[in-house]
Parts: sequence; C-alpha cells; structure tokens
Amino acid sequence: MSAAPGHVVAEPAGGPLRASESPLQQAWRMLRRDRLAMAGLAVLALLAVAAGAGKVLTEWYVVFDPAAVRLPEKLRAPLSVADAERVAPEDLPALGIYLLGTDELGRDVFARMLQGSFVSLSIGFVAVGISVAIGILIGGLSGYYGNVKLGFITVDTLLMRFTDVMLSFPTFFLILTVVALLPPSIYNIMIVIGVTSWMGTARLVRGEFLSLREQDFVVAAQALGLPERRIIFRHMVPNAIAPVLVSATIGVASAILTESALSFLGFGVQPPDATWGNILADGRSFIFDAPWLFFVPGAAILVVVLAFNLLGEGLREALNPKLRSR
Amino acid sequence: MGGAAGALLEVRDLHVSFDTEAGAVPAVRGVDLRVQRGETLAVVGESGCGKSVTALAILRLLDPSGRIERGAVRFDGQDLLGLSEPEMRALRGRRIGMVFQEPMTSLNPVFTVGDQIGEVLAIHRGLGKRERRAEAIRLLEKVGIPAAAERVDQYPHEMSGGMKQRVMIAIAIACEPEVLIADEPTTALDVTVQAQILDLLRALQQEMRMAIVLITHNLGVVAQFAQRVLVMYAGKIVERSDVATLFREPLHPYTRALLRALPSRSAHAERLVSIAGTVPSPLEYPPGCAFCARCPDVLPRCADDEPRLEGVEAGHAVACWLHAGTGAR
Repeated sequence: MSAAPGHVVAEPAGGPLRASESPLQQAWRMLRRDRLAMAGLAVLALLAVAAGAGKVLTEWYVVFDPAAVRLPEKLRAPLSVADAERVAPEDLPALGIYLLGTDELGRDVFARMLQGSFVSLSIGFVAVGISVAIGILIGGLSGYYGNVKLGFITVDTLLMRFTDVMLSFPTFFLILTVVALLPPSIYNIMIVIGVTSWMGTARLVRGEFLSLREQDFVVAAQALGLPERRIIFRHMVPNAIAPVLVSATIGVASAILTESALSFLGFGVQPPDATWGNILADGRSFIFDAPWLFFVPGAAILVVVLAFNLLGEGLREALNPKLRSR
Repeated sequence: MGGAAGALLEVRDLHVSFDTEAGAVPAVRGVDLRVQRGETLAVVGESGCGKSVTALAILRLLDPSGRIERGAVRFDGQDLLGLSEPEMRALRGRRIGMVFQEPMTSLNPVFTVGDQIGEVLAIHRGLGKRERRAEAIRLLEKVGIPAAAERVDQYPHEMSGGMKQRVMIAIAIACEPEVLIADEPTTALDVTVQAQILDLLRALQQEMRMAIVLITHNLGVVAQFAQRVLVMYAGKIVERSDVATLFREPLHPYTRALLRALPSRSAHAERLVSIAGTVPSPLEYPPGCAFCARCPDVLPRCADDEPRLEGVEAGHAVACWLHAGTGAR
C-alpha cells in the first residue's frame, strides 16, 4: 500500500481541493444564469403545480367542477360573480366567482383549463418519453452496431433508412389517420404522437454514438471486460444525453401543440373531458361574443410552448461547452 | 531465443487485415511474440506499423472492419481466439489489463474516478459498494495520487493528464492482471511526467510480478524500461533482441536508422536525422522487404524476395538479407 520510491507525484496538489461538480451540476450552474430559461422554467413549474392541482381538484376532491352545466349562466365574462338564484347550490363555483368566465353551456372555464392542463402536460411528457425511448434505442443500435452486417445490408443502413421512411410521412396526416382508426382516447394520442416523433432523436443519438464509439473511454471500457449492455447504457447514453434533453424539451412543446391541434379538429380528447385544444375549438364559434373562450386556452398554449422552447434553448447552451464561453 | 515453454502470453503468426473500400488492407502480417511472467517486452515501430493493432487483436477488441485472418493467441495455455465472447470478457481487465495512450479521453467524463475504478471491482471481483470505495482509495494511493480519499470523488476534468494516466493504471491493475498491455502509455504526457509514469509501472511490475507488453515509438522509453524488444515495420517484425544487444549492435537497417534518428545529447547544433522516404501504403507492399525502398544498404534481391526472421545469435533475430545465414539458429 505504501508508495514505493519514485511514486511520489511531483505535480503540485493545487491547494485545497474544490468540491467536485458533475457535468450536470455544471450545466445547472450555467442554466441558472440564463434569465429567459429560468423564466421558462418558472412558468413550467407553475404549470406543473396547476396540472397537479387540476388532477386533484377536478377529479378527486371536486372543488372546481369542469362538467357542471349551468345553462342560465352561459357565456359569463371572466371574474363575474355567480348568480346564486339561477344556479343550484351544488353547482356554484368555488368562491362564487367564474375566474375565467363560462362557456356556452355555462361550464366554468377555469375548471376546464385546470383539467386540461393535466391532460396537456401528461400528453406532452408521455409522448416525448415514448419518442425519446424509441429514438435512443434505434439511434443507439444504429450507432453502436452500425457496421454489423445483416445479410446484404448493415444494421445502420437498415435502421436509418427506416427512419428516413418515417420522416417522409407527413406526420400530422399519419396521426389523423391512426386516430381516425383507433378509439380516440388520451392514451392512444400519447402513443401515436410518441411513435411518430422519435426520428429526430434517433438521428441525434446515432450521431453521438458514432463519435462516442471511437472515443478512447469506450474502447477502454471494452478492454476492462464490461458487458456491452453496460457500455451502451451506462457509459455511452449519459454522454449522448445532452442534445437529446434539449430536443426532448422542445419536443414536449410540439407534442402539446399536436395534441391541441388534434383536439381542435375533434380527433383528440373527446368531450366532456376538457383539453386546451377542445376548449379552443368550442370557443371558436363565440369569438366575438365571448373572446375569453378563445383567448384563454390560446394564450395558455402559447405561453407554455414558449416556456418549453426557452428552456430548451437555455439547456442547449448550458449543456454545450462550446457555447458556454459567452 | 527464450524457451517456448512457460510463455504466459504467446502470439504466433498473427495476420490482421481491415476491410476498406479499396479491399482488404493488411495491417499485421505474421507477428510472433512471447512474454514470460514478470518480464517487459517492448514493441517498437512508427505509427501505422501494426503495433497497436497487434495489441487490440490479442484482446480481440478490433473494430468490426478488422479481421484476424490467421494465427494463434495463447494465454496461460488457453487459445484466446477460440474463446466465447463472455469468456473473453471475463479475461479482459481481470487477467489482461490495458492502458491506453490518451489519458485525457480514456476516462468517462460523466463519472467520478472512484465510480470508474469501482466498476471493474464490481464486475470482476464482485465487491459491494463500501468495499469498492475503500479499494478505489487504496488503488489511488498505490498509483501515487495524493489526497486519494478526496480525489476519489473527483471527475476526470478536474485532474491533470499525468494524474488521469495514473487513474487509468489504477483501473488496469485493480484486479492484479498477469499481463498489462500498455499502448503508448506516456506519449501524450510531458517528459517529466513520462518518467514518473514509467517509474510507477516498473514499481508496480516488481510488486505484482506482472508481465508488461509496452507498445511505443520511443526508443528512449524502451532503453529505460524493457528487457526485450521487437522492432516492427509495415506489419512485420524485422528485429527481435534483448535491449542491451539492440542498442549495442542493431542489425536491421531500419533499426539502425531509428537509433540514428534519436536526438543525441551531445548535439553539435546539427540537424535532426530522419529516415528518408515514407512507409509504403499497406495496399502496395512490395513482394520483397517492405523497407527496401528506404534502405541505404539495399541488395538486388530485396525487392522481390522477402527475408525471414532468422536468429543470428542467442536471443537476437533479424529479417534482413544482409544478415541471412550469418548465425546458427
């Protein structure tokens, strides 16, 4: 154990050692300096709270009832006080106020937005989760086993041409077709968006893996006798994850947009369940009489998509050492 | 030459080629080597002569375009080329360790060095979490890293090149391998750090009775460190000798040229000597000796007739027509 003569390192130890930082911690430190990204993150944190509250307060303990129909109180403006004489007591909104007004059936828009925020956010995350998982798998296999021949073509050619085929579908119409064939449930929409949006991730991961494969630490890991599974998932994936994280963040935004568009067209989540897309769709016929029906979900979509994009952009800079030295 | 019996690692007639668009490119063309327990064998040659490929072929780590065409690799009586992949994996890192040239990139940037040492310990020695950490600290101390208990939690980017190479060595010796293959272990380091790393390797070798295959292009390193030397040129061994003999009496014109090209310390402000010409492309190796186009002593038969590696005296063999038939084998 004791060092033999000649072992002693001549390099200076460099004074007291600074606390170690993992690359992710460094990125976080960078990200915190980016005001726009932090604003995006704050909005998303707020949205996450709203989505959680939406699930709890509209389904489990119904404080805000998104389904209560109050025909006498239809198309009330935001912040108007509920008329206790025309509405059954159990249908009165919390606080007695329609925070964001009511729609053409007298349903509380605030309650519907809350319910919709959970749907939108969960569709965004689950769809992107599916797409990232598929993308990492296909891109990783393609990059790692790229040179392996299967008969007359390589694994890489096979998987990447398949990716090209998927990319050349007009995705939205593919989704419309699939959704028209399947029963329109929230789960089907998550899956359909997920399996039609992994191609970008696959290409990113493949590119990263191609360069990582040649890196000495991967060869070194092989020389240490580590199993391939471990090399791929423990050594290569964490090193390839930065661009995936960025594209996933932006991917959540586009999944939310896709879901809104589908619901707007009536192929998405079906009434009476509310999502931002179908609130928007319902509101469109009353655009002059009740502009809040249109404006509230539209602004929510805009702000959330913008927040995700800002955060993604900030992550891109924080995770890319080349852009750091600003 | 050393007795065949008892060789720990033995490579016989190894041929490796790479598939490229231009066809199969031979990288290693019939290499033989033997390493005994506890000795150091240096493999010397310039870039592209096939020395690293030989090392990777021994561990069966060539990338998919590389193919072992012919030959045998025996380690402790086992035929490595006949082993299954899991059997091979159990050997790599446990009984045969390897140290690479680039310490800057040989460690995974997203894990602490302690985690990376611990990984080998978990896989080959089945140690638990706490034992791994203690053992990692012990190994870091063993390779001469100060404040090992703190360094163990650092990331590679927080260390210098020499420090990282020490970590790589700690990982390579974590399972006390019988053979350590060191592929240019000091090339990327400062000269002063180079000497420290070589001292470290030598001390570890004595302590653990480990055989070292040292791959290098630096004859200075060879002189300091190895007992026996193989000189490779264009995928073949052109001279095999013990170190003292090689430096006293180099036989192959290529070896001589390499030694002449060493900058001498008594420099009279003269220009550095280089070897005229370039290494032939592997696609155009001549039928005869691959060095003939650059050889100052070329004979008429050299271009068409390939010399074989022949012993000229005990422990010294050369593949050159100048010396053919001069010694009893």
